[in-house]
Amino acid sequence: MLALDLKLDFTSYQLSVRLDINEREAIGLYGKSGIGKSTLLKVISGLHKPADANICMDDVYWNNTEQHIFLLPQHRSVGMVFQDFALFPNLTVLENLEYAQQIPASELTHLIEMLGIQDILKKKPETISGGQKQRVAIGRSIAYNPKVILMDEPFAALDDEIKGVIKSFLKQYIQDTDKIAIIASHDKKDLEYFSQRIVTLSDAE
Amino acid sequence: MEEFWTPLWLSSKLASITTLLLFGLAIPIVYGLSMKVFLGKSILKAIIALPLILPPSVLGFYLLLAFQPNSTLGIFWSTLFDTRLAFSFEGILIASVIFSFPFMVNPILSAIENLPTSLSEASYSLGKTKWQTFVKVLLPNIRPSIISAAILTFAHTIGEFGVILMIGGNIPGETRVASIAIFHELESMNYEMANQYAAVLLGFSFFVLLLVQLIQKNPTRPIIC
Repeated sequence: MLALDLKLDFTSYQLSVRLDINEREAIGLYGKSGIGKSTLLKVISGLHKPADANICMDDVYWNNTEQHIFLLPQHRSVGMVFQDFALFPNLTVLENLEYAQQIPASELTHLIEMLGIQDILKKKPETISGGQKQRVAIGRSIAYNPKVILMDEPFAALDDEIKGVIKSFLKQYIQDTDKIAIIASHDKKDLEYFSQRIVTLSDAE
Repeated sequence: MEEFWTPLWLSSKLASITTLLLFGLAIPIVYGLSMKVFLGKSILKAIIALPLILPPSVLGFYLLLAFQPNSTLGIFWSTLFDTRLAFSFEGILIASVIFSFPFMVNPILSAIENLPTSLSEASYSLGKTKWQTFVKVLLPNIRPSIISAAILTFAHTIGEFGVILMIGGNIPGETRVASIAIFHELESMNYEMANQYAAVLLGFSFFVLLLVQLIQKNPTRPIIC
């Protein structure tokens, strides 16, 4: 279980988040642009150090401000899908996946097929479309085999047909593999399909 | 004719070894400056950049003091290698490494700092350490800047005059590099020979700058994928 109890300070408001998330559960983070969805994901992943946070995963503190505990991202078992994809430009699609790979080769092959990226494996990220980049970014985070998958607007660049396939694949994947997923999106319809619970982030008092 | 080529050969040898040594030194220093947080980072950056604005005579003066046979470094060097540092090829080599330092470090550091932060963040979130991220993600994505830095370092060493003259003097076959040879031929009123050296360095400098321009046509800042 992932337990979050944290406060994020922004210029004119403070976000307070208290959440317990179980394995095989997908949580949707909903809110307008700039509200702090990406920051919250970065805090959970360890890429951003908050002023006041208590994050506990399976009885191990990832972050505890009072006890001065802050686990680096490398030690958190978190796979992150970035809004700008953050694929490595010097590596091919396959090399991007292999860079992260912590799953057996057969699973990687299956993942590649499920994501429909088998024809672009030898291509560099700059030569593929936005939708393809998004699928590679999702694949890379899964190939890392993390306990928690964090996705920042993971369906934004996908067309409707591909989006449906990827969403149902991800939903199945999380249910089958004891993962926890947190998906940030401004599209409530995507979150309703995908998540058991939706958390709305707001700057209201 | 052999006499003509000796200073050019010495210049090339000096610049090549300087570039190789600096590349080896620059990578860990850039790693430290770009990936680590430590007290005094700004001071270290200022020290590295110092040769860019310091008059060569100032740098030459202090290096000459440090290289004197009765200085700590001079005694250490002569004990170890049974030779002197001042007025020797080794002396101008060490001086070259010091005065060319920012030409290697700064372009590489600047290119690393201009990379999108999401690249290193993505690598960290995939369980990679800072060093793995630096070597496997950051450095390969600034290849044009690394090549430019190496070329500029090489060219700057070839063209350096003041520090070399102060540290190395004008010893044929030992410290008389091409830039010193021009000065020597002028002093001997041998304008034709001076012109030949100058023409070679002019052509070389133009070629280097052209090369850097061509390399930098490739974007040093990768497209965010």
